[in-house]
Amino acid sequence: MTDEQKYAVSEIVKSALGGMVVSIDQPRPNRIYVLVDQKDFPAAAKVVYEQLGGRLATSTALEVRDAVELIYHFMLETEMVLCNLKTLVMKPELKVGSVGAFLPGADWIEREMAEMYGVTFEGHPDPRHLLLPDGWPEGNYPMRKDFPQQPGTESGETKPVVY
Amino acid sequence: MKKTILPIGPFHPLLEEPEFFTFHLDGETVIDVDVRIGYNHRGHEKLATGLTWDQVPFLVERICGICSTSHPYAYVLAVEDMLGIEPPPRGKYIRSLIGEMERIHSHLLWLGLAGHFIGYNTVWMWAWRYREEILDACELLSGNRNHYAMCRVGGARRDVSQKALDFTMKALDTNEKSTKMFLGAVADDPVIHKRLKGVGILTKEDAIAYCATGPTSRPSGVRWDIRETDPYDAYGESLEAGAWKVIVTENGDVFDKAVVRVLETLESIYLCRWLIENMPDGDFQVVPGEMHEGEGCGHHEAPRGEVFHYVRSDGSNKPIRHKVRAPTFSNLPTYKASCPGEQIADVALITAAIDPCYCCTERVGVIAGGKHSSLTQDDLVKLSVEKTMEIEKRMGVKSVLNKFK
Repeated sequence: MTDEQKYAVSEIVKSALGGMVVSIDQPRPNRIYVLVDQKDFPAAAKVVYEQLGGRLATSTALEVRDAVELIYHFMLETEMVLCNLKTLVMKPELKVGSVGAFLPGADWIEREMAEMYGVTFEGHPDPRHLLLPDGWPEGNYPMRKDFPQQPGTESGETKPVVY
Repeated sequence: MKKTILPIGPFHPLLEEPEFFTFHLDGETVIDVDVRIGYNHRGHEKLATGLTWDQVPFLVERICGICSTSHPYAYVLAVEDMLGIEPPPRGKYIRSLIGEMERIHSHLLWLGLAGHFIGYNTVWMWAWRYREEILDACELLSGNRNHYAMCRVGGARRDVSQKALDFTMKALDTNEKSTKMFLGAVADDPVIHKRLKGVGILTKEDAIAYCATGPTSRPSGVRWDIRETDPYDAYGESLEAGAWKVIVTENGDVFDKAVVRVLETLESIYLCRWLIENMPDGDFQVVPGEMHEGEGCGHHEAPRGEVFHYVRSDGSNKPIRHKVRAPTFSNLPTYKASCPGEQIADVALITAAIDPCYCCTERVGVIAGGKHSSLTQDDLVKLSVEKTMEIEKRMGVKSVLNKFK
């Protein structure tokens, strides 16, 4: 695969996703970043998985000002391009359709993102804790910026995490 | 139908790493499996956001004690991807050489453990004995048997000497012979055939659906290898030169997983030899330059599969997000597909065939004459320095550790 062929992949991704694409960027020949809307998200992931043959490497959640950003890293093995599918899940609802519902490879990572960031994946087949214990108190999300670094020490405002 | 539930773990003599399995059984046949993890969660992703860019490789190198270079390798690739840095050729070749040496010793370690699990302890002792030579070569190349610390953003952290490369070449020669002997032992032994063939089959469809990677997916006929599909450092050039090839088999059972690993060890030996023969001269690192806003992805084909790292920068001296995905995270859920229908006695074997990553960090205790004493850090450093000097003496190499004398 030459660089020109790799740059042509963004057109393939764009036509496969159609109107769901909000923005698409290919800063380097082997990296594509696609932003889609929250409501189109599971459908877009399904297109990348089923039509383009993407292998889900993993997904990343990170907190931005009024949303949690999800990035699903799909490796297009035949095209030799990493396609990063992004969406912004708005606070405070933090609800998005589940990719794990049709792709077993997304099962664990969505459980991890749910417990660490408080994102609810609607339609997830097995929405239990993955890394945190079962008795972990509701509403405590360790990777969020507002999670107390030392529970219970900040002028009594935060409750100590007891489980 | 009445089901029996058999819990195993979280602490069990066969599991070096705490995991909790729940087996739903009908007689001795497994119907369903559930795995709970999280007993070893150390919060590396959060810790990384509190360190500077150059401190993170030190941290992520300690995620795993066996494939210790794969995490810093993937991390520096991610940062280089974000900043658009192109390391000099020698730095690239050194990093790839360390990555392949790691694959050889990790696969030999797995081969020994697999032999141990099926009650074939001769394989265990022999595999680990031949692994020692590779570890000695690693120690001479990098200064340590494991935790090589050879990756940094912009190239390799330090250069390798020609004498160390010559020694590595000799270690590879002896290792090629012993690996070929193992291939004969695995591929021709009728007992191993009976024990491993047709056990724990992972079909091609399941491997794709569970997004399995590395030596868990390739035995099922899925040709996924990051070294081939997203070539980085010296892998693209060496593949074009025909130095190595990707090993794929079709059956997906435990036997094929063993064969793929042994054949991959051989391919890694050929690749290491090619890298040493074609090692370019010149600089081995560049100065990374200014940090700017952006995001980058890096992945490295570790011995167990693809290690994936994602970093996001806001232009400051620390990452604002660092995502780490180890291969076992993708490979472990394939239990759900490969265990049901198998006998409970085979499950340990299917577990071992995935090669779950054992991260073990322990302190050393010595019991002599009934008295227990702990070794301090200084004692451990002294022992390690003495051992390196002994190897150097044996090989007639000028010591790099003069300052410790």
